[in-house]
Amino acid sequence: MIVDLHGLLPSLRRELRRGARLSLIVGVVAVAAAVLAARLQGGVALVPGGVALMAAVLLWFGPIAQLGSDRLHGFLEFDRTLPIALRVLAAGRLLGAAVRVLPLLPAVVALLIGFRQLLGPAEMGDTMTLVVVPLVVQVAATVFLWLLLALNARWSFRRLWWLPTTIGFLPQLALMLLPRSAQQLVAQWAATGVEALSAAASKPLGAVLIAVITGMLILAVFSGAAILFASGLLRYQYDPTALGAVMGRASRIELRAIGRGPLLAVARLRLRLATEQFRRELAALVVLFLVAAFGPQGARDFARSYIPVLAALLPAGIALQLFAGRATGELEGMQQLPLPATTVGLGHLLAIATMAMPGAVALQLLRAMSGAAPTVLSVTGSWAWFVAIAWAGAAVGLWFQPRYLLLLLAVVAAVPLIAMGVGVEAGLFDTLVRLLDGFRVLRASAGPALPFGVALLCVLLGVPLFAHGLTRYTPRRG
Amino acid sequence: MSSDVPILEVQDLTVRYPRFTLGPVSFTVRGGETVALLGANAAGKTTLLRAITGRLRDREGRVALAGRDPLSAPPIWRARVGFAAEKPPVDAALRVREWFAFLADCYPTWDVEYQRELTDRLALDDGDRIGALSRGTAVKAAYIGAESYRPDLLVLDEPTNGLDPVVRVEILELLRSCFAAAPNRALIFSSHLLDDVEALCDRALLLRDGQLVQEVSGETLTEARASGQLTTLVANVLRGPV
Repeated sequence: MIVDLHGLLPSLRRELRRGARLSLIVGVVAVAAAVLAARLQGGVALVPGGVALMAAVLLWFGPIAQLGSDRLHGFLEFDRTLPIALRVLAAGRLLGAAVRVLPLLPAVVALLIGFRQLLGPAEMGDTMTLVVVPLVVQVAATVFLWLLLALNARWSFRRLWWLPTTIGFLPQLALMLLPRSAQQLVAQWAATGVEALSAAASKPLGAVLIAVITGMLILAVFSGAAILFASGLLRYQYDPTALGAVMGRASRIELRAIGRGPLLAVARLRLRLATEQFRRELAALVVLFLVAAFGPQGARDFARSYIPVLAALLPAGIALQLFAGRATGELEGMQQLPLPATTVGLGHLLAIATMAMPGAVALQLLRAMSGAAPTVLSVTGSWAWFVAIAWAGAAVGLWFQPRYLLLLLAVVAAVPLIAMGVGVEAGLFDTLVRLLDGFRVLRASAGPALPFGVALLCVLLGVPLFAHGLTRYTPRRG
Repeated sequence: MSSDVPILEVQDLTVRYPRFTLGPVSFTVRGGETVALLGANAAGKTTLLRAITGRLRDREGRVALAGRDPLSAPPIWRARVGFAAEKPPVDAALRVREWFAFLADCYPTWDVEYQRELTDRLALDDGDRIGALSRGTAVKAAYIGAESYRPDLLVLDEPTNGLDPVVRVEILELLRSCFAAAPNRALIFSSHLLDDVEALCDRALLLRDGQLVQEVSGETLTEARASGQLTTLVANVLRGPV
């Protein structure tokens, strides 16, 4: 790739400008968290680093979200018209994204300092740990971000949840296709390779060699990502539904006026859109069930880990429709209907409850394949969990504004502090373990009352939250 | 043919942004009136239209639509105002007729016959998806979606900008016929096209840097056009003192 600085710099600057302020804020927060963590003792020292890491992880999603927004608004079409080579443009964007997520480094340092304060320097190794581990995390996160950006730009994925796990699963799946003897050979090579690397790393020359090879690998991934990204720019076509339903063949199920009130009208509108939204997911669900039933063992595990997510996505997709409408400004159409916001909210809840039914059935089918016979209670329990999660997501998602982020982080920070403050002396880890154990006991003893109770709570809290979010919604202009 | 009934009363309306302030703006629109809003780019036309329809919540001053503030009135009050911009505010995957069917279930005063009549007159293919509509067709769909329940006040944000002459004439004729004999309804629209303004409106409100600087009657606009001075008249006001 020929480096054209005249093209690279504007592209890099533009990408940096888009997230500079937030990156700077999170960077300052992370450094402050590291300083604070060094002054605290015990489990509480983990809190600043944990909060900073959470903010840094949210920041990591920024470039991906902006790529989605660029696709939705057609800005990528403009990029194609610039007098800059597409690969240079893509390289600038990827480099800019890498700089934007740099606050991850001090955030990991802050967390590690917290661990050192909790466990002591002997447990956490020497100062090198505080340098090498954050660097490795930062590089890995950046490379992964490049991969996601490139794949998403090239194939215009609507949803990315499956991509990271699939990338993780791919080597295993590839291995499974080999005969058993070859699998053993590969495992042996891998073990030998790791041993050789460990031995080499202890010598100065070996360490330098490893660093050079790693650098070359990173460069290769970067170049490949830039090529893929550029190819995506070249093929890009404006898609007004880039965040919503796929615009393939129009659904044969057509919405007609029924004259039975707005509540049903809103629910039917969402369900009608869901008929187009989930074609791919439903097809994927069928394929995964077939793989889970008849595939080789590794592929079965792969399929079984994905089926619950796809099942949950059926009701959660209604929430996704809302988020797409919020991003495009189309939510204003819902807001300005001559209906109370609670009626609009209940219409969405009804749609979620309907879509949760096939989701619950899919989950119970999976259970049945594992030998656990589904019961009425287990089916309704799964349904209630799906309703609770999807509705909570929809309501919180509609209510949430970027300015609430600090509030949210403060609440997250406050929970472990309060847990420790109320007399849990065993430390943060033990507290979390006890909480999880308590939840398991509650789940076992309460039976279906727990999901129904949680669903009821989510409905009661979610309806006013949804109504507040819808009423306050203002589309972003420009 | 205007009546004495005020459809819209705006008193000291102010909207503040970090780098721009609209207002304070005051004006009244009466039943039967057709009012144009003129202004240079970024003069605050869209902000004003969004504020009077209740789309902007953070504002000061008084806005009364048929006697009540759209922000504090019950939700059903929103059926008294129709707002159309460049495209319908709904998911792009829906067909146009599906969106109309949805609105028919939500608006108590939705008139299906009227909607069909408008659809026929504008030659709109309502089987198309909203995301696949051309700019002109999207404007037609948005207009029908806002007009089919016959709101007291119809607000159109640049309804004819960027349209080809055929669609433009169609929409202007339709607006003229809809509001010519409607003493209890009013139309307010923003535009840069002075011919449209002169052809359609009873008076024009001229907005400069967020301030209402002048009100021009329809007669003045017609006279200015006849003497070839329409563009100069408006441009002089919008340009401001040199």
